[in-house]
Amino acid sequence: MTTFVIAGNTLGEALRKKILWIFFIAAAAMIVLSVSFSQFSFRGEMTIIRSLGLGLLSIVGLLITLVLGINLISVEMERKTIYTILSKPVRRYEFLLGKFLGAMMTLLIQLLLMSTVFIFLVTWKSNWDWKGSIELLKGTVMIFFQLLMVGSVAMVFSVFTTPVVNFFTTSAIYIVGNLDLTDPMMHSKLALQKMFYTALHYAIPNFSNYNIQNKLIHPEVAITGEFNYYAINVAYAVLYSSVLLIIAVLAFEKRDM
Amino acid sequence: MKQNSRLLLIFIAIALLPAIVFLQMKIDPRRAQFQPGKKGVGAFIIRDVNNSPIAMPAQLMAGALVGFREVTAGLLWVRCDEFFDAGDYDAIVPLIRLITWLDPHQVDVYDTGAWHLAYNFIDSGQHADYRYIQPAIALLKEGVSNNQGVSDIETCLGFDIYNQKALDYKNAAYWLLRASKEKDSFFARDRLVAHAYEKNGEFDKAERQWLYCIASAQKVMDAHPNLANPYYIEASGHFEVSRRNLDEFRAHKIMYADLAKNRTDVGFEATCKRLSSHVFEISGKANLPDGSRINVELCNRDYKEPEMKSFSWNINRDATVLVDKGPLHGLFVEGGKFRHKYNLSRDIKQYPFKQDQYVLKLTFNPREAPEGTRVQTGWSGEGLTDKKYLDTSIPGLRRIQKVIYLQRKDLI
Repeated sequence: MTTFVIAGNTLGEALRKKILWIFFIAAAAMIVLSVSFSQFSFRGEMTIIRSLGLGLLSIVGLLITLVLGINLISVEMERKTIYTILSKPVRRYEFLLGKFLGAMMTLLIQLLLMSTVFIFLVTWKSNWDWKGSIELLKGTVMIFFQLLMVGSVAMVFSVFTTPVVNFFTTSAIYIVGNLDLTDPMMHSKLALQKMFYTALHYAIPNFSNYNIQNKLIHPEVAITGEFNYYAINVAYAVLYSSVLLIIAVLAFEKRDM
Repeated sequence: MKQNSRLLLIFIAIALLPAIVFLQMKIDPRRAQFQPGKKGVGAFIIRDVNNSPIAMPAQLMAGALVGFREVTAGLLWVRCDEFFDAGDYDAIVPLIRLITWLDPHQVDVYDTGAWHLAYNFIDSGQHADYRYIQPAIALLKEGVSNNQGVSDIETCLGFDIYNQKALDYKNAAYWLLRASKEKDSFFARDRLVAHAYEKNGEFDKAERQWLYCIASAQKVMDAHPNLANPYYIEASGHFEVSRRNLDEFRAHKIMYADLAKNRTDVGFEATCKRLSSHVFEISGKANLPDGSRINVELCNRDYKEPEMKSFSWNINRDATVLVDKGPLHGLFVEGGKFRHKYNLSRDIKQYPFKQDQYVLKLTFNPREAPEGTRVQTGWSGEGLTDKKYLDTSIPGLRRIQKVIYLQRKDLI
């Protein structure tokens, strides 16, 4: 119960942050402006609009996650409010989980708002074909679960690093996990190299699993086991985030304050 | 937190790790469907037609990496258009390779890329560089495998490349039939299949295809009986064209069979005369109607067209391959004679003439002939004969072919 109260407070506080609304307004404006970019692609107007929209959701979502994730604990410590909270009957793990939950709820709300603008625009451009546009929500869901993992990474680092260090560390992990850098090396002929990169592939969070834009941009492409893929990815994000949160809780419990 | 709780949490975290690995193992094989063409940063090096690596502009690379792959592909496609307007075809094709890597579902890009390869690399006499036909085919086959169920690429492969350029009607019929069976296909493609069967000499299949065209059009007309309905309008057009073509087909069948009773001796003769270095003239006579075309193929004596399993620029640049054939090419017969001067002196890159032995094939194929010629020759050469150069090596086809073996000194 305490966790949810903290989550609610975190959500309220986050929604009052101007920076997040600036992100939202900028993203919404760029999504709308993507219509003017569409002239670049002959017969592919919707390709550009969909691609730009999904790309913006992903990038702005990432920025929101980073801004929220790196400041969750540090701001409380800076303001010394954490001591007041923890002096009450609130356990450290409840505080940490509440903060994380509140941040993720904020992210979800922002993503849904941006998606509404995006889906409305796509529907308008496709002669009010709601059925085709609503499919894009799959992209929003996948982006959310990708960012859930990013948020968890930021949460772990926020326990024992400064916001600046956290920003760069989380961003670096996001880039590494998104680029499939290990993929080519996993097919190396050198056994040791192959083993190392295979282990790395399974150890680092594979954010690129959630890049399903191409399917949403080209809805005519036939995909088998689509729902299955999404379900496995959701499970992966939940499990990976759980492990990261456990690490964060254990580290937070040990921290001297 | 109590020690027991800590241990429990550590235990849970460790227990979840195998589950995470298991899920990732389940995800890996499925990812290719959602991220086609993605091979990791640095794993894919784009090369130009001279096999040199090309760099992607930094701003586009960054765009592609942060999730705007399809937008980047779209912007590169615009750049292609600028190169096309400037006639810089060498620059276009590597970009097309790059675009299909970024977004393998841009169907137009495969079609246009293959078209550039097969049609736009030409010599100063407008003859295409046939060494690029196989890369064009390989590019389209890659497009087909990346875009299952999309008929456009299959049609491009069947019609633009095999039917119009390579004049390989067996493969043309195969790919056009595949395209016509896709859900996004339309009536006109069913007719292309029938025409390809005719050209390949599969007349029974052609007749069945015409009947299928008529029946499928009739079915749609019955389902949409309103004369103003767009489905009815399209189907009725298809019905009329198919019925007319079937009538003509059947009339020709009877007419051409009769030609065998009184065959015309083509009296084919041809010579190749060197005029100066890289300049030669092919001339001859053929008792064929005006407008009949003689195909010209000159290449290294041991040249064999390579079959590419995957797309590559790696063509044999030392090979000389001059092909002058196709709907708009070949030598034209006029007044029973043909004559054409080839000046290859400005196209050394395309015709390096590095070997000593060459083979020149001059062919008249009735299956590729216009209607006016077929009245005399028939579909499969039923109405023609030749004392010296009748070639019946292809079952069911009587064509005229003279093969001339040349030395380098005969041409250079």
